[in-house]
Amino acid sequence: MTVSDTTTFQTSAFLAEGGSHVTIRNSAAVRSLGNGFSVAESTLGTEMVVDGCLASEHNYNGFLAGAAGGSGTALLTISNSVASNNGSNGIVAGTNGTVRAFSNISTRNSYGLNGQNGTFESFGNNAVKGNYTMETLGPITSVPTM
Amino acid sequence: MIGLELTLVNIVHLENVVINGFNGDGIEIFDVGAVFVKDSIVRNCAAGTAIYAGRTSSGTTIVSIDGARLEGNGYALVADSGTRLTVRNTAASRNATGFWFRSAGAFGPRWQRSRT
Repeated sequence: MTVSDTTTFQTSAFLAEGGSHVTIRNSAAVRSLGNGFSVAESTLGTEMVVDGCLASEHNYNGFLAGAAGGSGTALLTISNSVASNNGSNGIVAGTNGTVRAFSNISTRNSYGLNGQNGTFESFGNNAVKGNYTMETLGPITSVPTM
Repeated sequence: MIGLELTLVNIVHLENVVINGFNGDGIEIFDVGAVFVKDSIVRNCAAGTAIYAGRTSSGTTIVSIDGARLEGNGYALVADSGTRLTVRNTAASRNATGFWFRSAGAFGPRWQRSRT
């Protein structure tokens, strides 16, 4: 599934689950009571690829992989995107979740990048500054680009 | 009541359509070959989904949405099993939930190349 040049304002913006494979490009998710972009783990392997997107002013997380209380895997690949002013994390790998991040901005969230409960791989060039509680939480694994 | 129900048809083009105020889904798509929605509005279907696409049998439904406004619905868009979805230039606001990509049945949505 492909989404591009799209804007959402509501309770929860983009949710992928059940083994769906989604690509989202040039889209904004703003001001919800939940998460901006979230990928729920599934035994079928749920995947979301995000490029050039904005997640701002969500009560919880801007970009989230995993932590849906199920089993299986959730993979979020995110590049050239901005997470700002979210109540919890800018970009987070939760339980059963993997995030692969390159060239993103995370600012004015509670936590900038969070790999505490999942696998967070950074391919570099992420700008993480100005988050309120901590810039990063948990292990952020640096992976070289090719 | 559903605004527009599309079932077991081959190809449907919806252009410049306004669907407003139904208590079910705005546009419901089941077992259709392809649906193209362009420059249309689905709003105030608060108990349903603005656009729902899924299948009750094997196969693939292609759904293409361009220039839509999905406002004040329960869900803006739900893509269920067997759906290959492309959305572009669309705004979803004041829905309970925005875009829900799920695979509730045996026919999981599969990867589609990004628009270039």
